[in-house]
Amino acid sequence: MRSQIFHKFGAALLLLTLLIVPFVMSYFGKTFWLDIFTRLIILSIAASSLSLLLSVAGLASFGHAAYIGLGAYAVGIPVYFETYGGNDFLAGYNGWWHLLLAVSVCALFALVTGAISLRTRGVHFIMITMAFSQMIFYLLVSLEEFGGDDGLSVDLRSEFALLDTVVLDIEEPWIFYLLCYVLLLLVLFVISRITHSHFGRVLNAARQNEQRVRALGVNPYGYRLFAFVLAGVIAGLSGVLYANYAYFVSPGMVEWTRSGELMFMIILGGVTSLFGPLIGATCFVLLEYFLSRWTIFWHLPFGLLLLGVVLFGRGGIVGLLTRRRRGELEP
Amino acid sequence: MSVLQTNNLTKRFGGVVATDAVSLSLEQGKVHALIGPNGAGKTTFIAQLAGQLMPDAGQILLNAKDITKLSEPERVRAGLTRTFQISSLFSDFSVLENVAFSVQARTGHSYRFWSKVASNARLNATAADLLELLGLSEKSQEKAAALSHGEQRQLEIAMALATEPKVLMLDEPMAGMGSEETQRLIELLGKLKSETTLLLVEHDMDAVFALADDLSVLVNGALIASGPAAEVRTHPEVISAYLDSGT
Repeated sequence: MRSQIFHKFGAALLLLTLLIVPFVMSYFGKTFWLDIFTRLIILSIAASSLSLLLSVAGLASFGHAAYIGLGAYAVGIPVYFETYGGNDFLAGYNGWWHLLLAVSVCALFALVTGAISLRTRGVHFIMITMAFSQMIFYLLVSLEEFGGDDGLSVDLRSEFALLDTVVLDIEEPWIFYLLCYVLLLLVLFVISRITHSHFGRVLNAARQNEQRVRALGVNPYGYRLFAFVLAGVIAGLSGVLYANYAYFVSPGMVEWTRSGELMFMIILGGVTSLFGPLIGATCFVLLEYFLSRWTIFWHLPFGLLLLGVVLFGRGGIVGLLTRRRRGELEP
Repeated sequence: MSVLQTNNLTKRFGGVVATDAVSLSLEQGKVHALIGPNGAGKTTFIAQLAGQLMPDAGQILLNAKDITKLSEPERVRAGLTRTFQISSLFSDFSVLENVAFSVQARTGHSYRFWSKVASNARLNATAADLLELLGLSEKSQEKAAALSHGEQRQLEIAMALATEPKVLMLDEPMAGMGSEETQRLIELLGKLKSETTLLLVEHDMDAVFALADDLSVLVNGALIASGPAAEVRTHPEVISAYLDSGT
């Protein structure tokens, strides 16, 4: 009970910090911190969506970056046509249209690839999800019209019209940050509810002991497929945000190392907690920033650190903190 | 009346005939014990009935309906549930959650995304009743992994009962239980047979003879005798092949 209160307190503190720090830093003229924190929040949304598969359902999907890419191109391509003409039915800056495109494309892609991937287990599942995301990668590379390897730049951010007259001006960095922040809260809330629902319990049980779930009369396949689609859609949402954040989309967003990074964030933060992916993404982005300022060979200490967490930090950062609280760690 | 019936059920693994044209019939409301030496193919037989293994030939009928082609979850929903020889639990769940999930599995689909399942009073109450029945009430908040071996065996049965089976197949439920626990379980199974037909695979002969109405003996995948327990006990082939060998 005490550790639960501690957990809630820590989570509230983290969320509050994420809300306040970038604004305080901006106030003192260091506006790039708002930029770093925006990226951090967007990656947290993607990592949280993956944690629904990885932590709750025990499905190590290694192709999650594909959905970020699809979501991003759902912004990039309509904006491209709006600028350069052609395909009027797609073209536009309308953010709701971008969202609709991203959600439907990601849901469809997840439904088809999930239906196939979920027939496999373990290493095969990891490889097949990775293969599907590589297909998207090479597809995007081959699209010469949309810049191929080099990607597309997005000249203006999506327009989110609320009612008829009010437009959410996300060109303004702090409004965009607040939008991302609110969406993160929403995503965390939805994932939390789902994890503790009837549906979530089936996923959880099937992760622990699939044989027994079947022997109790439940085929986990449909539940897993639904979770797979849901996680894909949420990652697509983060892709829409990412394209707007970077004013740029490229196949690089779909590279398999990106999928690996999302996994690292979850493991770094801790798989048992709702806030693990958020903590992991925060540490990931901040470490990346500080280490790369320190040395151009920043991948080396970064890799060693990740190795250390995987080897010794069972349960990631959340696990480390709560174990110390419970006094399970050596004094 | 026959509830569960197999006709010439056959399963081969390469050159080994694990189940050799077994025709067995379970009568409504009775305890049917299946005995045989280690490696006789009892667990393979159960696995085919449960749908984890598909037979090479033969038929399985549940209430005169052919279920040979049904998947494992479909058979459970049709009323045929098994327990496992090695306890198969959800080790991260509490004891109550293990049973509550089993109740949840029976009560329709679980595409419900919003309400908190842990505070679902109906699931928890049904689960608590089952734990009471198995004498596990005091342990309901403990993690399943923290239970003693005997308690895990009891939880295993509570979970199977939660599916409200018409036929319950128990794969060595007494294995590794203390004598007191065994006695308790024998009493419980005796009470159960008014509602459920039981197929009992068991090495504990005291339990078998205390409970079984009917008895079948499986040796090298083939049924060498099947019928009322009192008759099969005295069957000369059975005595020489099995009962006499001191197992």
